[in-house]
Amino acid sequence: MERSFRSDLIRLVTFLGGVYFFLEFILPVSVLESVGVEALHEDISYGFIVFSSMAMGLGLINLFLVHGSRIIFQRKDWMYSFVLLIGLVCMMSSTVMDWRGGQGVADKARPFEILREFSDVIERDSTASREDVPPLEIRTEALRDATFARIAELRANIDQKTLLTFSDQEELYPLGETYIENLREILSGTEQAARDVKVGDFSSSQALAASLAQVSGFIRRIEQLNYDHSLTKKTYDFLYQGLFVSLGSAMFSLLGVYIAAAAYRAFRIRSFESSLMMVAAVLVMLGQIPFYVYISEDLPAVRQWLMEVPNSAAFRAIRIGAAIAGLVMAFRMWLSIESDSFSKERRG
Amino acid sequence: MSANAWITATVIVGGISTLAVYSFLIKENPFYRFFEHLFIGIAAGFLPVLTLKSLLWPRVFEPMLGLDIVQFPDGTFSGEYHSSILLYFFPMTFGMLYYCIYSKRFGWLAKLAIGFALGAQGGLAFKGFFAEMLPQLGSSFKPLVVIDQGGHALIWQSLENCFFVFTLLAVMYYFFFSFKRDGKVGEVVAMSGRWLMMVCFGAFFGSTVMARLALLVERVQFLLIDWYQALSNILA
Amino acid sequence: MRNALQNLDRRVIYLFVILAVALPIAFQYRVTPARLPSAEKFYDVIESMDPKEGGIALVSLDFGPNTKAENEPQAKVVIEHLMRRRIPIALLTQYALAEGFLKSVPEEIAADLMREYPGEVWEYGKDWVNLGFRPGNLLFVQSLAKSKDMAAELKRDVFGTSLKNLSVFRNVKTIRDVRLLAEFTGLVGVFDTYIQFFQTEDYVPVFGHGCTSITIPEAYIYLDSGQLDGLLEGIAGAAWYSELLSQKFSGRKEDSSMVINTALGVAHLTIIFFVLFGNIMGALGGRKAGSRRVSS
Repeated sequence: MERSFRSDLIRLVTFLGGVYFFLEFILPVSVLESVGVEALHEDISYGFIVFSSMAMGLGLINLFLVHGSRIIFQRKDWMYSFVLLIGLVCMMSSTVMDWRGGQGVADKARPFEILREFSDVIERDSTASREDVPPLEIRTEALRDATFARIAELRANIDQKTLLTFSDQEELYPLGETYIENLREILSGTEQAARDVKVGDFSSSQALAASLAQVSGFIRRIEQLNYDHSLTKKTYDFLYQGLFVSLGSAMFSLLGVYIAAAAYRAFRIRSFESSLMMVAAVLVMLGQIPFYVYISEDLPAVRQWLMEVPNSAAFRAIRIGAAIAGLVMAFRMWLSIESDSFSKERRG
Repeated sequence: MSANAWITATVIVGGISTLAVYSFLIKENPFYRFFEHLFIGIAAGFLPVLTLKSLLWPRVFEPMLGLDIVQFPDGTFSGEYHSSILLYFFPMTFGMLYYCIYSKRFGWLAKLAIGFALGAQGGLAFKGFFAEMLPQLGSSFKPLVVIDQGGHALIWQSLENCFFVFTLLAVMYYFFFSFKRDGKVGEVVAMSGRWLMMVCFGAFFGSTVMARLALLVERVQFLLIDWYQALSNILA
Repeated sequence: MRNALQNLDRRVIYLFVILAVALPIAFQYRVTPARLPSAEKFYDVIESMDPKEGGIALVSLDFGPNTKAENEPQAKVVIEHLMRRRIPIALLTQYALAEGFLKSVPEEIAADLMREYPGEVWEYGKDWVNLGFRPGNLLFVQSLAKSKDMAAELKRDVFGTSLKNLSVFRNVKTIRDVRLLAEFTGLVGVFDTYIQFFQTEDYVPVFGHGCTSITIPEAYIYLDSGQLDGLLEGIAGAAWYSELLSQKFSGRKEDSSMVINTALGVAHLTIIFFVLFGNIMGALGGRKAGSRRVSS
C-alpha cells in the first residue's frame, strides 16, 4: 500500500496532539516540575482550548451557506431560512451588545478598583523591598491624591438624575436612592481613610483599600441597576427568555406526550424479560411520586433498593465495559489505527 | 415602553412560542415551522459570541494588545507586557486550518487540525479513564460477609453484597462475546445477567418517563400561571 | 366500544396527558414528596460546612432550556441553602446556552432571602460571583484543577470585573479552597468531566450532583463508589430538598417544586394507566393489531 506524505503527516500530527496529555498523565509531578512543564501546564492547556475554539465559525459558515443559498435562489421554504438567519443575526448582535453593556458596568467601577489594587501593590512592593519603583512616600502621596481626585469627580455627579439613567420603573428609584445614599456615606469614610493613610503604616492603607472596594461595589450596583433597565438588556432578555428558553423547553417537552403514546403502543409484556422490565419501571415510578402512600408505605424503600443494588451493579458492569471500549478506541484514534480512512489521502 | 410592559411582552411571546410548538401535536404547520427555524437561529447565535467574550478576548486579545495592563497614579504599571502571549498565534493559526475544509485543493489540511484535536482527546482519555474507573472498580469489591463491631454477621447486608457482586459479574459475563460459552453454568449465569440487565433497563425506562414528563409539567405550569396572568393583565 | 379503544387516536392520548398535568397545577395541588436519602446526603453535606473555615462552593449550572425543568429547581434549592449558610458561591457553566441562568437564579434567591430577612443583605461579589460560560470542556476543568492561582486563571467575572477585586475570591488560591463542587446537568459528558478531572493527586473536593431523571440510574454508581457525596434525582430530589429546607427555615417562601412534583406524580399514574390499558387492549385485539392501530 502506498503511503503518501500527506497521510503520514496527518498520522504524525494526530499522534503529537495526544503526546503532551499522555506524558502529563504517566510522568510523576516531580519530573514534570524538574523539566519546567508543570509551570506551563495552564498555558499549554489554554493553547489547546484556543486551538479548538477556532472551529466555532464552521457552524456559522455552514448555516449561512445552506440557508443563504436557499434564500438567494428562492428555493422551497426559503422564507423559513430567512427567519432562521434573522434569528441568528438578532441573537448575535444582542449578545454582543449585552457583552459591551456588562463591560460598561465594570468600566465605571474600574478607577476605584485600580486605586485599591495600587494600595495592595504598594504594600507588596515595600515588603519585597523593590528598588525599581518610586519611594514609598511618593507612592503613598500619589495614592492619596488620586483618591481625593476620584472622589471629587464622583461627588460632582452624585445625584439621582445623573446616576440613575432609567426612567420607566419608578418603584426601583428608592433602591437606587439607597445605593446613592450609601455611596455618599462611604465616600466620606473613604476620604477620611485617605487622610489617615500614613507612610509605612500598612494597616491604614488596608483600611483605605477596604473603603475603595466598597465604593467600587456600590458604583457597580448602581450601574448594574441602570444596565438591567436599559433597552439593550430588555431586548436580550426578550430574545433569551421570551423566545429561546420558551421554544427550547417546549420543543423538548413534546417528548413527554410522545412517551405517553409510546407507553400505550409499544410497552407490551410479551416475555419474562419484558415483565421484569415493566415491574422494575413501575416500581421506580411509584416509589418516587408523592402518591406512594396510597399504595404502600414501603414503595420508596423498594425503589431505593432497586436503584442501589441491581440497577447500580448492572449499570456499573455496562459502564466498565463501555469505558474499557472507550479507552481502546481512544488509543486506536491517537495512533491512527482506527481512522485509517481518515488519515488516508483521497485522490481525485 | 415601560419595564413591566417589556416583562409582559416577554411572557406573552413565550406563551405564543410554546403553543406554536405544541401545535405540532395536531399536525405539522407553518406556524410551528416558523418558530422552529427561529429557535435554531437564536440557539446558533450564542456560542460564537460567548466564546469570544469568555475565552478569546480576556485570554488572548486583551493581553496581546496590552489592555490588561493599567497605569497606577505614580506612573508605574500593574504588570509587564509578556511577549510570550504572542505564542497564541500558533494555535490560532493552526486552528484556522479547520476552514480549509471548504477548499478542494487544501481540504486535506483541515484533517491536520481535526487529527490534532482527536489526538488530544485520545491523550486525555487515559487520565480520565483511570480517574473515573479506579474508584468504580474499588467499590465493586464488596465484602461478601459483613460483620459488625460486635463480631456478628449482618445477614441482610451480606446477601445484598453477594447479590450486587453476582449481578455485576453476570452482566459482564453476558457481554463476553470473545469466547464461546460452554456448559450449563455459563448459560445460566449469562441468562441471569440478561434478566438483571432488564431490571436495570426497567429502572432506566421509569426514569426516562420522569424526565420527559418533567419538561411537560414545567411548560404547562408556565402557560397556566405566568402566561395566564400576563394575558389577564392585558385584558383587564 | 372495544374497537374505538383499540383505534384510539394518538391525539386523545396527548390530551389526556396534558390534562393530567394541568389539573394539579391549575388547582395548585401539592402533596408531601417521597423521601430521598440521596438528597438528604446532599443536604447534610452543606449543613456540615462551616462558613468560618473559608473557601468557596463552585457551582456549575450546565443546563439549557432542554433540561431546565429539572435542573433549575435543583440548582435553586442548593444555592438557596448555600446562601442561607453564608457560604460564598462561584457560579460557572461549560454550556453556552446556560449563561442566562447564572445571573437569574442567584439574583432571584438573594431577593427572596432579603424579603424573608429584612435588614440582612446578600450581595454580588461578596456572597456569589458569576464566572459565566467557560469553554474548553475537559481541558478547562483539568487546567482549573491544577491551577496555582484560580483568580488569575479565571481572570474576570461575566461582567468584566477582575476577580481579585471581588471578595468571594479574596482567599481562594487552589482547588483545595473549593470546599464543595455542585454540578447540575442533563448533558452527556459534562458530569464525567468533573468526575475525571476536577481533582489532584492528593485532593478531591466534596461533590454534589443534580441530574435529570434519565441519568439517575447512572448517577447511582458514583454515589455507591463515593465519587459523589450527594445527589438530587430530578424534580423529586429538588422537591425533597425543598421540604428539608422548609422544615428547617419556617419563614421560607414555598417554591414551585412541590406543585411540579405533585403534577408529575399524577402524570406518572396516567402513564402507568396507559401501559396497563395498552396491554389489555393488545391482549383483546391481538398483539400486532393493537400496536399498529394506535401508531397512526
